[in-house]
Amino acid sequence: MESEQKTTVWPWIVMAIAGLQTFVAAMSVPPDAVQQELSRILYVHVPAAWLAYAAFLFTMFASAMYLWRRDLKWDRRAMASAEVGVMFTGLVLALGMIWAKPTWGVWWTWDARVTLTAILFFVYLGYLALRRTTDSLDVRAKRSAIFGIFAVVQIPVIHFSVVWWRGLHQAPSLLKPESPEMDTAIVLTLLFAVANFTAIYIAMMFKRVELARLEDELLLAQQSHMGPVAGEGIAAPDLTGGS
Amino acid sequence: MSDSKTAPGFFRQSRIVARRDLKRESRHGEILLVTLPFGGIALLLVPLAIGTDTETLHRIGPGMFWVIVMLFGVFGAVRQSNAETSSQHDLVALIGLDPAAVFIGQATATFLLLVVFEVVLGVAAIVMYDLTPVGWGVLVAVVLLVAVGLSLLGTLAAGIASSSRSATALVPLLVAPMSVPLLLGATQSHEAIRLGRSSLAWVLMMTIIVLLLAVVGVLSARTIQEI
Amino acid sequence: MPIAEQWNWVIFAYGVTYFTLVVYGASVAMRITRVRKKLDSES
Repeated sequence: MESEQKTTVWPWIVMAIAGLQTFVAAMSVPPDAVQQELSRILYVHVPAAWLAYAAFLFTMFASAMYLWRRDLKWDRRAMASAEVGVMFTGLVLALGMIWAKPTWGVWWTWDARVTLTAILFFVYLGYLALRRTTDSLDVRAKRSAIFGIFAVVQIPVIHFSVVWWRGLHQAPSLLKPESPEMDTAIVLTLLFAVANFTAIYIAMMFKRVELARLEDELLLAQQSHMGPVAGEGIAAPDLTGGS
Repeated sequence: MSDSKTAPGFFRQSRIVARRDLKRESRHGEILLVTLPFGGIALLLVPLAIGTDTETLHRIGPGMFWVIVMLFGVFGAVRQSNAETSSQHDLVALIGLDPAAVFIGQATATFLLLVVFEVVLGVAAIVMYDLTPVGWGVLVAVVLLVAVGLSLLGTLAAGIASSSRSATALVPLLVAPMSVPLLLGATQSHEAIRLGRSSLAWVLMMTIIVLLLAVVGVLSARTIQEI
Repeated sequence: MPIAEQWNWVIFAYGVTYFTLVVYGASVAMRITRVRKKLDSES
């Protein structure tokens, strides 16, 4: 069956504009007093981090909605958010490394935030790997949703234990990424960047969900071509009492 | 003797399932004859790679032991001998066993196997790394808590990934990030005692985690059975 | 660190960012086109 809905173009336009705006803003804002030009990296690093966590939260929310409503559209949304989320999480880690090396001389630090982001990355990967284990839409949705709920319960516990652990091993105060007082221009630019990245996330979600819907349609269409299954002719007994 | 007309109670069902799982393990010996030696080899490889001087071994020994327990112990939950065909799975559902009881039973069997795993591997680590454990009371508690936590995590993850193509590879991936609090609890409680501080907080944290996992497992057992 | 070298890192960071976004977006777009084509041929 041909898909009824036309393909949308506005998400790509939104992404292009948001991306461009962020770049212009990040390049125009005056450099930070301490970090100088390197501070510009934060205008992509911080929004990516915000989206990485937000996307994860949405995946968990959509998983719960699926278990409640059993409507596959929630499963598609959960998956789309996980995929976009894993991209943003990978980006956060990469940008963090690119920022850390010139700033502190090391690619990686073992403070709580970095460690937790890395753990989140692996949880995402596990979620996506779990989805590859079956072709049945319902089984896949149930598996993912349960793992999603399982993850959302464990993540705060992991967060707490890691923060506690790092609290005992005092990291040098230099490791605070943001300087205590931030210039208004910097804060505004940061918020602007976060807003743009959020727009990118939403637009990306629209297209990814569209793709998921089409792929599911295709799968169902292909499965229906396989012909009647033996035993399909047998129906459940009529227990409505008429005879 | 129970009346043949009434179903066995919750804990009796769990015991039946646990006994079945342990019997399977006794026939195939997967944990004791395969995973345990594998863990032992891992303990052996580490000093070969990092250094065999006593100071290094003392420093990394406890941590390496717990990492190996976390990574290899999870195989306890996804052992091949416990993998069910879909018809066996359907049979358990049709018999009318409470899915939560089945979960508890499976987790209990895995727990017992993991305790053996930890103890034997622990002795090996003490010998090979020349370790002197401190705070035996806390150590016993931690060994048990890690075993319970890992078995709950593993049984949950195995249920989610049940009879899928790549369950054996997937379950460790799903469990490993989730086991971080247990790993931190185990290592930090030992550190605390070594430095003369109280480890109570870490033990308490692990206890809460374990209770949380048990609740999640029991509540989601019925949904998992549908998969 | 000299300003010029700092800019190298900044450009690297932005390059990685936009490259990732564009590649991911493009892959989604291509897959949509491919699946639509397959769906049309299935009907």
